[in-house]
Amino acid sequence: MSGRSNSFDVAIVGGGHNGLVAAGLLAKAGRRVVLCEALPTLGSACGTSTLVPGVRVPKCAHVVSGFPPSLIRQLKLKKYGLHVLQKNVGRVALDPDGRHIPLCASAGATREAIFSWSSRDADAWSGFSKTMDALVRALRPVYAESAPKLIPDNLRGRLEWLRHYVGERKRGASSFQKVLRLLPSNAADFLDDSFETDLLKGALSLDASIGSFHGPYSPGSLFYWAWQRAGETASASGTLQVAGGPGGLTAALTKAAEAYGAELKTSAPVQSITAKDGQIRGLVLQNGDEVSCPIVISTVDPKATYLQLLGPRNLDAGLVGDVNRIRMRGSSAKVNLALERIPTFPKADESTLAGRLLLAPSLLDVERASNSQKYGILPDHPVMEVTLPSIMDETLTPEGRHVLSVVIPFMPFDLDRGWDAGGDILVDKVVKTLGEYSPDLPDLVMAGEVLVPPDIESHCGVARADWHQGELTLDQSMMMRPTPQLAEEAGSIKGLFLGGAGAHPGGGLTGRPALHAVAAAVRFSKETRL
Amino acid sequence: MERFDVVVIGAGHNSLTAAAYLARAGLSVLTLEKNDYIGGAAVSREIEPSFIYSSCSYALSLLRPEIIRDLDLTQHGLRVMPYQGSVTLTGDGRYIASSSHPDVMHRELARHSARDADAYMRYGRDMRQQADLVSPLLMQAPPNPASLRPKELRKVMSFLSDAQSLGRDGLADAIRFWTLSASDLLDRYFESDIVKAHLAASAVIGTGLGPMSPGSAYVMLHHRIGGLDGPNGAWGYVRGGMGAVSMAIASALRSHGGEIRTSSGVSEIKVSKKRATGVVLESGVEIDAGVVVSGLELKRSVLSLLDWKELSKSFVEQVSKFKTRGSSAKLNIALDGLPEFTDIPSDCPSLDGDVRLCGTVVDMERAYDDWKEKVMPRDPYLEIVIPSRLDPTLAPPGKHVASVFVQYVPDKLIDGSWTDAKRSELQDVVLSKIEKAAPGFKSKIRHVETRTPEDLENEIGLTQGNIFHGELTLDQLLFNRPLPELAQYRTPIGGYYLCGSSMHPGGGVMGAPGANAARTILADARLRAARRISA
Amino acid sequence: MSQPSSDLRTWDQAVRPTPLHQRTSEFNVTNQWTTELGWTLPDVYQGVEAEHAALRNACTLSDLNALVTYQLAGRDVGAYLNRLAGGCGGNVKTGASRRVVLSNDQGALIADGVILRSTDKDWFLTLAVRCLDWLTLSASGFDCHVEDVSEQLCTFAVEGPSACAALLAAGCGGLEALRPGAVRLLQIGTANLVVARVSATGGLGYEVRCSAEDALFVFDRIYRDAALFRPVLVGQHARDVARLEAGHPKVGRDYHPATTANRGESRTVLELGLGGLIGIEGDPFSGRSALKKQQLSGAKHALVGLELDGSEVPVDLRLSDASGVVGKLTSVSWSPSLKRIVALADVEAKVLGSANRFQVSSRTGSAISAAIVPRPFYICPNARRTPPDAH
Repeated sequence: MSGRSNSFDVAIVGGGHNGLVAAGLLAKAGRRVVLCEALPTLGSACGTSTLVPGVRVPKCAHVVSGFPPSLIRQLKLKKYGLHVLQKNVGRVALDPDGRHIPLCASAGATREAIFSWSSRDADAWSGFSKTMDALVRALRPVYAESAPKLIPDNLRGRLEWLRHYVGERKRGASSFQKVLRLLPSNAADFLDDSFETDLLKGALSLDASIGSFHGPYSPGSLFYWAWQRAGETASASGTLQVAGGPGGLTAALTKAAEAYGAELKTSAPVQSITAKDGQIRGLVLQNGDEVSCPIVISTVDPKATYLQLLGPRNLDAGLVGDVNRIRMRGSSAKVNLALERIPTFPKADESTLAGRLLLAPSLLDVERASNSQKYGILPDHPVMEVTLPSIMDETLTPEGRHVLSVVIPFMPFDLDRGWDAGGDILVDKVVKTLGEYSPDLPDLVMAGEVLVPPDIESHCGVARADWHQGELTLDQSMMMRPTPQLAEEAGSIKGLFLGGAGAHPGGGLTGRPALHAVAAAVRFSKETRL
Repeated sequence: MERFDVVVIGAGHNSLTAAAYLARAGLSVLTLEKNDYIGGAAVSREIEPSFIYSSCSYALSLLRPEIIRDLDLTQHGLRVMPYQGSVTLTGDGRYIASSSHPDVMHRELARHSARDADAYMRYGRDMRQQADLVSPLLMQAPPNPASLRPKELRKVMSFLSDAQSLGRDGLADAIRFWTLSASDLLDRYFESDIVKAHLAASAVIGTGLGPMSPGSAYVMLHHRIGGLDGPNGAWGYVRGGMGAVSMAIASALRSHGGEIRTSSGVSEIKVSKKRATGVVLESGVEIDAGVVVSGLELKRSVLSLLDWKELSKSFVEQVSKFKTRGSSAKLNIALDGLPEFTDIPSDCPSLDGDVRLCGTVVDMERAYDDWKEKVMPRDPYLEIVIPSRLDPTLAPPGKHVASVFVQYVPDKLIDGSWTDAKRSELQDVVLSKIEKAAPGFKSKIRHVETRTPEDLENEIGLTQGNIFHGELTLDQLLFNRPLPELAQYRTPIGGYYLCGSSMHPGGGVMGAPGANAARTILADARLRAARRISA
Repeated sequence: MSQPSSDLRTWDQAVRPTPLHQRTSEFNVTNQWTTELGWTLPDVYQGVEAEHAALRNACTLSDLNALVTYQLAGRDVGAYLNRLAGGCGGNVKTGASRRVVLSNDQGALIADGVILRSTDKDWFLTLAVRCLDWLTLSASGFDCHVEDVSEQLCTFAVEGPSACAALLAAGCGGLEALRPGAVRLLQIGTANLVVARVSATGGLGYEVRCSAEDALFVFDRIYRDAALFRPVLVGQHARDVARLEAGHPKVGRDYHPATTANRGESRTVLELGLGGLIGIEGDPFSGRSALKKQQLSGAKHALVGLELDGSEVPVDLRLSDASGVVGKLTSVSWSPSLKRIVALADVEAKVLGSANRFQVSSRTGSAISAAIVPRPFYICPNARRTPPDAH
């Protein structure tokens, strides 16, 4: 049992989607890989709950946003069971009276829906979309880069930067200036300047700030929004719905990784990452087992990686301080419901309900929800993103039954009254709010579960219930993510790579942090001929 | 018809500064002010006889030393008395009395946290370094990153190369100071809530951001870039009240041959073939000019004074979107005696400076959240200065004037404008809060006047009561201020320039926008003259 | 959080008198004072030359309260100090002391100081720089609590060839057996003392610590009982001269603490020539990788010792060689022991190892020659002998 030592080329800490992607890619490339996951199941935020026998619901994340099709192909995930049900899953601004506004790729449908609210806003929609696109386009190359530097220090980097600058500038001075002005700006002002319809602004501002600590009035919220969109739209397929929910992605990744020869251990929490003389030596598991390897890819959050697994004693004190100061306050909660049958939303057909439903009546409602998080209290009226994945996904529920998945943002991790009482209050508020949009829904609830932030941390392995493992603000992004030093050199410990959301480019189910970590690890192993 | 080389609209301190520089360069300059007094927001008023209020701005730090020197303002009567500290009262019995003496400051902070006292030295160094990075940017037009002209590209490259020379950690620090919230930045140094409250106070003055809003750390930095007394960003009172600043600049202007006319509001700018040719006064009188300069806030300067036919639709739209949300109110009080604060000994010398009645950062943030809802403030942040403690000219001996700055007051309430009744209510909220901290205060009041953001707009043209002529957020700073198209003091109308705080480097009694605009005007004039000669 | 002090009216006294002030002010004939770390200390009592001479030849007393003393407690004090200070700060046996340097992640010097371990559990760290911020941060992950106990203590120095004899006369029995660096608990009357054979001035010397309440009592007893040895009060100025002769850099002059230094001002431990105080190949400590890198790539600056020709102390501190300005003097003084001008200078590393002659400008503009010499400039004869020579 204890003291058994095993030798591998790479050890991966954490079995969320990033860890599984890394395991699959490295194993496929012929490396001997072991992955250690603390929980009994793999997947982290990409899991599935069974609410009642036969009724399953995405436990945590409910759509797969930004996972590159190239990665699906590279790992042959379809062969291993990945079944894409929907591409470009759209968003819908849901309205209690049925005047929903689809916010999707088809601009015509959106304009038409907005027109019933305001003709001025309908006219403004295309200009608004163009501007959003310009912002996203400006960020996308940086998003996709593996190690962005604001001021590159080598010739190649400088030329790349210049090319990007000139490319943006070529679109015209006015467009360029607009991008420079909007990037540090806030989503609320941008929306208030563009539209008058509360529902439209509410939904868009929720979309802009979900998963963040800051509300839409905060400077930097437009950057956050555009950054997320850059990730989502990096491929033409956008957000995907897969069979089985994100758990289906986990299943396919798991099968693929195992087929390629990776060893995946569950219920195998890591006690420490060992390093000597600035070189990785391996891992020690909590049960005493040792893994010997020259490369470790950690997909758990940077704070845990450095302060728990490596340990502050083995690091420079300044680095310890910097890691301690990584801000991770964007916590969310989850409510999952099993429904007897599909609930009735006025004037919403199944195609509308198959998207991401944004329940946010106005900009101020979203801001108020974010306000309460600052004080550790629950909002009076939570805003939320809802999906009914069972509409498109027959594998989740028996015929006629449905499941509803709710992500509630701006949930303080430490609630003033405590989450034991708070969880029930939250569920009541959520169901009551849902009832405002679908009067028959509350009576259709057969079973349900609530995952308050501490639950998401302990049951899904998402530290602080922050799926970004660190707020995506301007000072914690790009070449400053997770800290300026770690963005460059993983704390001068050779062989250690950060492959989780806490690294560039951040969270969302994109697999990109893993891609970058794998590329860096492969480069490292070639350079050191290990 | 009268003709001048330059007509300047408004006699606020920036307009006067621009006018003085232009007159000094030999141009004939006429400055037109709608009120019967000059100074704009840098003004002294004797409303209660023998008591001089600095009715809007109340302390000086940011006035550029270059301007003081170039215009010889000391010879023209400018006298500044730095005050040595400030006091923060959190309302729960605790206080911080800061001092410019580092040893006293260290011990004062150590009363609350020994660790924070040491961290403060590191914070001071970091702040100073950031201020040093910003200072060179103040007295020049910001680089235009969208321009392909070699001169601008060189400026941009030089800016980037300076940024690169900071090194990885230096650049990261600069990014933090420019993008973090005051609260998050202070969390990187300090553990004590009262220390953080004390330092965060300068982040909330005049801002439409809370101390927990990203970007509020920059406002702290903005308040530290003054060069009054060496590199420390010290603040001080102007002898005779803030109006003495405007008076000194006006005196300099006149000494160079410039003329100032009050009670002469301008109603429009005459434009012919896309060039400004002069102004029309509210009285109907027309005055010709080769160049027209406006020190008014952007929207007034463009939307009120120009015929929209002359401007593109998108330009008008962009200008109207310029954010000028006001968040501050002001009380001016004539006192029969000094307030006695229960929580701090009355002989503390830091009481010569600003006294803040604030809670912790969380309390300030709640006040900001209230402001977003446009309700009557429940517990606003208050900053009290009593300049008569140091300046005997402001009140009879033994009597005093107090200036109370009230932060997080909406420019309009959700149920309408600031009526007299609402103004009274605000006044009561403020005076009661002060009374609680200093019992007996109300009984010492001889006279009090309250200015809401609406009053500030009506009297001196601060649109929506925003004291900076436009919010100090990154999307409205540097090359974005006030708009990317207008960041270099020129407008689409030839010969019409802007020189107020809506322009880089922004608000506060700095004079830099005025000086920079004057420099641009003179450079353009030289260019035109050169072209004429060569043509 | 740390305990707030009860001194509510901090503005009453900007700079404070030390526990010895009552006595030192009586002796301070010239009334020349200086300020360090918020304390007021005599700069010169009667004359720099006389005081320095006493320091090198007889017996002296000095107020050392311009230091911060931290007390450390917990299971991991040794490990903590190793990580804090060069990988070896915790390798201090009971009854011993060690000179240490604290470096930040970049290897830049935060502070130099001494670690004293008077008993098994009593560890003290004395520094000339306040950095509780850094010390607390460094404690993350260690069972180690750091507390500033400076206010509770009084520290003074008894130095000079007769120092041991003087203290023996005052009742410090057994002191002659104390080896250099050793620490012992002693008593004078009812006052408990921690006596360490440590001196920054390079000769025989003892740092004596007692409680602030006992300060005047202990001072009086030593001054009275050591009267035969005619102890001389020595101010900061004379001590700084002696310190310079011993080659030790002084904070604020020869180095700026990395926590508060301006850009370009901080220097690494290696650049300051303090590499002997760290174990770069040993246990991890903050800054070790940066210093290792610097060892390979070479430093950009160096703190060097210089001897200058002539007897004029230059005012223009710029140091030049044939190519131009290559550095600047950070400390410079006439050395009474060597009878020449000595200086510490911050120079560009490229000038090391060459046979360059350097020069500094005199007041009249002519060139004063300067040469790099090894440190310490002056080694006190038999300073490390145990038992110390009688005089």
